[in-house]
Amino acid sequence: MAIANILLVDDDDTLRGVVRATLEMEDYEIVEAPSCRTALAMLGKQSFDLVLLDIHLPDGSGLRVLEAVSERRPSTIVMMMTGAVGLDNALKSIKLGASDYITKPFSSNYLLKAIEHALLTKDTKEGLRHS
Amino acid sequence: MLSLQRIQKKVYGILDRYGIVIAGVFIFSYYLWTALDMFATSHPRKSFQGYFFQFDSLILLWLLLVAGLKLHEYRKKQNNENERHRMIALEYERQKMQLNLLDDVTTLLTDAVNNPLAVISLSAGSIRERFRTDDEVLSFLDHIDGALKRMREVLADFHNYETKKIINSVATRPSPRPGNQQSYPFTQPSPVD
Repeated sequence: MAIANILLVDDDDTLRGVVRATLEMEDYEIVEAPSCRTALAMLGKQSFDLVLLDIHLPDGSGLRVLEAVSERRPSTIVMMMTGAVGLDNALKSIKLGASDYITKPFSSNYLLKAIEHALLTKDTKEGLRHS
Repeated sequence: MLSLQRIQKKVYGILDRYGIVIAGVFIFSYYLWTALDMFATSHPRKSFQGYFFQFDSLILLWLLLVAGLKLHEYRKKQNNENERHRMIALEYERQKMQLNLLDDVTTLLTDAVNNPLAVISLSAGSIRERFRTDDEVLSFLDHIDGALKRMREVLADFHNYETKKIINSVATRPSPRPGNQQSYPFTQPSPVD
């Protein structure tokens, strides 16, 4: 059984393939989306534990998807990832409710630890809410 | 209204070019007129006091003309200063626009380069995981990691350089004179991990 299901949103096919391979080796279940539109459609169909979201997408900014997730599925964790350097988008993402902001290129270890940490925080928060 | 302004502009232009000549002609005309007037009077003998009072306003006239010329000079200087400020503001805006464009290009470039770098980095990580005991493969992977680190540093340097230029352009207004533009060396690489 998968540890968690993750929606991976990035327009780079190769990167999606490599991230998928890296995460599937650790028993994560991955669903891919190459654009904002597809991501929003996927989010409408099913719930995810975590969304790995690129900021620069062909049909708009990933921040739009982040806003939608924060509104529709507040329990879903969103981790932003971007290749661009700069604080503007990082600050906007955190304000809109992203749990983390990672910059490309990242190593597989770094990505796995960041996801693990985010899921652990989510579990802790949910545990506290139920107790 | 418009023609009045045009006339005023023309008068100022003539004053600018021939101010001293006009002042000289004015004073010497007055002097001539006063002298003629003096000799035309019916009293042929005049005391020193008489001569002095005949030309007393000449000194005042000189002083007035000097004051007028100084005032005109001051106004001209102020106009030049205003024009210089306007040029500085224009140049500042132009440089700001150029730097913003450069920043956009840098952002797009780093984004485009960092995606394939992430693919290389993640793939290297997966290979390392699979060949944990093979020293030869691990040594090659170390080379890849080293190259990746260097590329990250170059990109970070490039971005820092652009950011520094933008911050500096906002903090200090550049002079419009050529040769007053500063260049900034690349910063020392910062650890990115």
